[in-house]
Amino acid sequence: MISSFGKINLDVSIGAKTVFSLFGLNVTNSMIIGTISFLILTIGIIYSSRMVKKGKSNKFTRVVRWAFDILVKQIDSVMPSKKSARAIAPLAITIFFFVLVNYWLISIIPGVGAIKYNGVAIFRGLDADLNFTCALAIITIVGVQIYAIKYLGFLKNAGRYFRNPFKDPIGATEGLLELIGEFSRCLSLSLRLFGNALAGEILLLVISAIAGFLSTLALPLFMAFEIFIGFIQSYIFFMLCLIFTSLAMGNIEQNV
Amino acid sequence: MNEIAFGLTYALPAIAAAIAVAVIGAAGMNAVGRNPEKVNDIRTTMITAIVFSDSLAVIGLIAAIIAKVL
Repeated sequence: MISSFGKINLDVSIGAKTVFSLFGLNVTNSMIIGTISFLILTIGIIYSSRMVKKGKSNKFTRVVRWAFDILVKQIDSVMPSKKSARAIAPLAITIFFFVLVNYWLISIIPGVGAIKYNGVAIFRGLDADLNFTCALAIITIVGVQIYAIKYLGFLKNAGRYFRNPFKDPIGATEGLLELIGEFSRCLSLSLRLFGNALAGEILLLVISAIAGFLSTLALPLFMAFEIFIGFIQSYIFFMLCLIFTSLAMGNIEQNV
Repeated sequence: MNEIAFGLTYALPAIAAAIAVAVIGAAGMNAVGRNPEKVNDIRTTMITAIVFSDSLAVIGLIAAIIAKVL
């Protein structure tokens, strides 16, 4: 009886819907959130770096520097050498902050799914869009290969996968399995983030549909849960990027 | 039958993932008990292993949702 007072239509779609079309490019609703979060992140980080260069500090820059210090300490502890840590740090830290801001933005701001333009909701999380997570996974895997080639050289990197079957038959099959493993890593990276983000959005929609007007009591609990899961998923993406790179670079000592 | 399939598609990977995470957690705690000063390395490795088994459960959830909606 309580839930018959407030009902929302559960409009769940797996893919992002096109809101409008601009010079032939279909702008989807996740692209809109992506642009907004990109602007927020760029302005925030550039402002913090300018303040650090001038030597001033306020609460915002202290929070950003604290997060940055924790991430850099983690990178230093995982990567084998300081040079490789400096090389992989921009990609890893950017991935962490971008995924985090996108996930948090869609968990808390009101108006998700309700503001409509031509019958299509104009806000939808970028992480819940398979295009974005696939692109991020491909960037990570290709980036790992590029860093490995820069560090080991092209032939030694190919030697990780294609070993001589006459001298080392078990190593040859292991190398082929590692090649297949690269593709499965790409798939699992994209599907993990996409699955968690989509499940989170559907969870919030279902909870608000079930609770009706009692959503004021029930929904903040699940939003807090979503914030926690967002932090965990972005941290995991960041850690996996580091671990794949350190495995790719560190293998040169294991081939004995 | 369809409803059973929809429910089982998520439930079976979730059972397996829960058991796997429990085993990994127990192994991690044993390792920390034996060697308490390496707790940071052990925590990193444990989280990596948990993520691998957790992602399979999430892929099961996505397969269930997609099969229901499409």
